[in-house]
Amino acid sequence: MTLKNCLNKHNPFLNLLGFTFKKNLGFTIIATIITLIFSPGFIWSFTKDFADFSTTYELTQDMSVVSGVMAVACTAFCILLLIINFGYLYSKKGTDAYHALPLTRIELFCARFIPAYVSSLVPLIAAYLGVIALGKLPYIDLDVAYIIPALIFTAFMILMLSLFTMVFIISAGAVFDAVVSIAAINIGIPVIIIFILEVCNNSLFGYANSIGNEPFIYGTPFGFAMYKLITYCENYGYNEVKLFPIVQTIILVILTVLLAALCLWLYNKRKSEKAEEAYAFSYMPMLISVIIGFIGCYCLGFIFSQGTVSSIAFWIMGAVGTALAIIIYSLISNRGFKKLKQALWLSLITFVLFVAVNVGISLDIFGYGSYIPKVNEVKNVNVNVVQYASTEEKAGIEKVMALHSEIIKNKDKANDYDHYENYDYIKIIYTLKNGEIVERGYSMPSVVGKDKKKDIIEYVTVPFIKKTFEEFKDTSFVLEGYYGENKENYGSVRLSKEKTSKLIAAYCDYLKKTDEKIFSGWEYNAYLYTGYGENQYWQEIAYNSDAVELIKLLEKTVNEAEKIEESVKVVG
Amino acid sequence: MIEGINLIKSFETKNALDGINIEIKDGSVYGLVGSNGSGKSTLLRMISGVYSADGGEILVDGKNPFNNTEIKSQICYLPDIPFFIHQSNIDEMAKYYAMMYSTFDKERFEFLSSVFPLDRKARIQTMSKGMQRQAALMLCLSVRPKYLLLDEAFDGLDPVMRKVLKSLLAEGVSDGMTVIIASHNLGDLESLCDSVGLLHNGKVVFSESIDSLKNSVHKVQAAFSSVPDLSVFEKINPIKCEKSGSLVQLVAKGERKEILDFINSLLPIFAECVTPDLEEIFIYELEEKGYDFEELLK
Repeated sequence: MTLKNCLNKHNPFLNLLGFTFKKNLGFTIIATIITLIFSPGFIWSFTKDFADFSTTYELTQDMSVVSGVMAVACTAFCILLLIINFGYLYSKKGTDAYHALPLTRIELFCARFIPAYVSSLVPLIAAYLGVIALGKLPYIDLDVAYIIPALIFTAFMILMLSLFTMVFIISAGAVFDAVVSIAAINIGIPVIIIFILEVCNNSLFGYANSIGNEPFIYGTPFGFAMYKLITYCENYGYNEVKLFPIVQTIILVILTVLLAALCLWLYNKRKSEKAEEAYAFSYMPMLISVIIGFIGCYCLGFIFSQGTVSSIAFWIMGAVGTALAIIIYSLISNRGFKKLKQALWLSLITFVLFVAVNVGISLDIFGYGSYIPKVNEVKNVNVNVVQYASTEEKAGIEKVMALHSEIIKNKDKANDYDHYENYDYIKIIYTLKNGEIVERGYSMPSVVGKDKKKDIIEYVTVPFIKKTFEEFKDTSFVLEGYYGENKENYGSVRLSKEKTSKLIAAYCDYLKKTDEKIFSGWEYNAYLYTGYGENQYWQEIAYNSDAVELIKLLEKTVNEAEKIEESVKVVG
Repeated sequence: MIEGINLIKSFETKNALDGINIEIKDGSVYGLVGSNGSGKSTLLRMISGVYSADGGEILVDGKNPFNNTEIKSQICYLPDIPFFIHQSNIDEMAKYYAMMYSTFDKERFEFLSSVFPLDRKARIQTMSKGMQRQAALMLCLSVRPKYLLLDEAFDGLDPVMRKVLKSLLAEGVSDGMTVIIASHNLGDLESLCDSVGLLHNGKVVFSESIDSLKNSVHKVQAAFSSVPDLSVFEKINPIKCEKSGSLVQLVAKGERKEILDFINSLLPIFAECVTPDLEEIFIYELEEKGYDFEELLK
C-alpha cells in the first residue's frame, strides 16, 4: 500500500491522532509561551547587563540550569497531558466510548500517547532555540555543539519518564490513585533505601557507605535521568566533556523500549470494567501497600526507638506503623473499609517481609561483616592508617588484609568504650579485578592490630608517599599550616624541591618509628601541596610532639625559607 | 450475525454473564430485557468489543470483536450514559464520529438534525438528560452501522421522541441494520423487536421471536352457565387457570384453534381467545419456568 493510498483511506488511528494533537494544542501554546518567558526571556534579562561591559557571559557553563529546568518542566507538562489524554480510563462512560472505537488497543494507546509526548517537545525545542538565538548576541558565549546533544538527551529522557509514568496511569483506575502510586514509587523507594542504609550503618560491622543523595538518584528513574543530564551539562560547562552522552543515551533507549513494551502489554491487558475502581491491576495496590507499609514501619520504629534496631520498641512500633500505614492507604484507595481484611493480611505480609529484611541485615546473613576478598582477586587496595595510601603490590595487599582480619577478629571490641579510650578510624577500599569495589570502615581501639598497622605504614604508607612524591619531585611545593609556639598563626611558605624531599624523607622516618599514639590522633599537622585543581598533589604531615627530628627540620625549613622569601610565616 | 457461545464474564467473584448462549440474526431488532445487574449492559459491551470474554466466545460475523477494528467499525454502541467530548457541541461530535467511522453519513446527520429539535452549537453537557440522549442517538444513527447497540435507548425520551426513534430504527432495519436494545420497558420493545431475550443473573431465561411467543401463548375467556371443574382444563395444559363466578380465564400454549375447539366442546355461553401483550406473555412464560416476574424485572 502506498503512502498516498494509506492517507486517502479513512484511517481512524490517524484521525484520532490528529484530533488529540488538536485537543492538546491549547496547552502546548500556553506551555511554550511560559517557556519562552524563561528561555530566552529571563536569561536575556539576566545577561543583558554584560552588553555594557566589555566582557562576555559564559552561557555554556550555565546550561545545566537551563537544561535541568526545561527537563523538569517539560516532563511535568508531558505527564499532565498524559493524565488528560488517558483520563477516559478512569470513567466507565469514557472507557465504553473509547474502547468501542474501531481501533486496536495499541492504536488507541499510540493515538493518545504520541500527541502528549510530541506536544511536550514543542516548548523544549522552543526554549533551546531561544538559547541558541541568545548565543548569537556579541556579549554571550555559547557553544552550540553542546546544545544539540543536551536537547536530544532531554527528549529521550522525557520519553522514558513519560512511559514510566504511563505504567502507573494504566495500572490505576482513578486519577487520585494514579498520582498516589507515582508518588509512592518515586519517593517511597528512595526513602526505604535510605532507611535500609541506615539499618546497615547501625548493624553491619564495617559498613562504610555514607548516605547521600544516591537513593534519590538510583532509586527512581526520574532522579537517575535528571542526574545524568545535569552531570553531562555541568561537565560540559567545565569543558571536560564535549561528546554526546552516548552511553547514557543507549541506557535511556533500552529503558524506553522496555517501558514501551510494558505499557503496551499492560494497556492490552487492562480490563475496561476496572474504570472507577482504585486500580486496574491487583499487583499495584499490593506493591504500593508494601512500600507504604515499609515506610510506616521504619518511621514509627525509628521514632520510638531513637534509631536502635535492636530495641523492642522498634519492632512493636514498626508493626503498628505497618498496619496503620496500610490500613490508612486501603481506607483512602478503597474509599472506605471495604477491604480491611485484605489490608490486615497485607500488613502481616509486609511486616514479615520487613522483619526478614532487617533481621537478615542484623544477623549479617550474607557475611558482609566478615568478608575479606582473596589476595589474587584484588587489583589494588586503599587504606588509611594515619595517612591515606594505596598499593597494588601483593605484599602490601597482604599486610592490609592481615590488619582487616585482625579487626574482624576483634569485632567485639568495636564499641567497648569501658575498656578502651583511644579509637581510630580505619578505612579499607579494595578494588577487585572484576571492577567490584569492596569498601569497609572501622572505628576500633587504637591498640587493635597495632603491629599490623606498623607493617602497613612500613610496607604500604611510606612507599606510597615516596612513590607519589617521586612523580612531583621536580616541582616546587608549598608548605602550609599553623605555626608559632601555641600554633596561633597560620601561613604558608614556598619550598625548593630539595627541601621538600628532605621533609618527606623526615616524615617517612617519623612514621616508621612512631608509637601507636599516632593511630588514635595527632597534635599537629601541616600540608605539602603543589599544582591546582585536578592536578594538585596534596600530602598531609600529621605528627605528635614526639616528632623531634621532624619538628626541627620543619622549623629550619621555614626559617630558611623566610630568610629567602621574607614574606611567609612558619609552620607549626 | 451475532453469536454468544457459553459466554462468561466475571467481575471479581460474580459472574455477570454465566455461560450464556445467544444468537441474533442480521437485519433484526433484538430486545434484551432483565432486571438491574442481569447482564444486559455487559453483553452489549462484549458485543461492542469493550469487554473481553473470560470464557466462551462472542462472535460478530464469525469474528471476536475485541481488538478487531474491522468488526468494530461496523458496530455503534450507545451506552446507558452517553459520552461526549468535554465542552463539545453536536457539530463537533459529528466531526469526531465522522473521523472514527467511515460510514458516517453527513446527509443522514443533516436529516436527523431536522428530526431532533436540538441546537447543534450548544454545549452538550448543558443539555438535559433527554436531549443528550437524542444527540447521542442522532450521532449513532448517522453512522449507519451494521450493528447498532442501544443501552436503555428510550430512557429520558418523551413519548413523541420514543415514537420518532422507533420509526427511525425501523427505517434503519429496513436498510439492513441490526439493532439490539437493552431495556426494562417491555412496552417499548413489543412494537419494535423481532425477538427478545430475557436475562436473569447472567443467564438467558429465554430468547425467542415475538411472533412465535405471541402465537404460542393464548389467553381465553369463557363464561359458563355451570362452570365445570377446573381439572377439566388440564387436557390443554394451561399455564394459568382461574375461575371468577361464571367466568373462567385461562392461558395455554398451543394451537389457537385446538384450544378454542376444546373450550367450545364444553358448551360455554361465550368464549373468546385474545393475544396477550408481551408483558403478560413474559409473566406466563416465567411463571411456567418457576420465576417470579416481579422479581426479575424489579
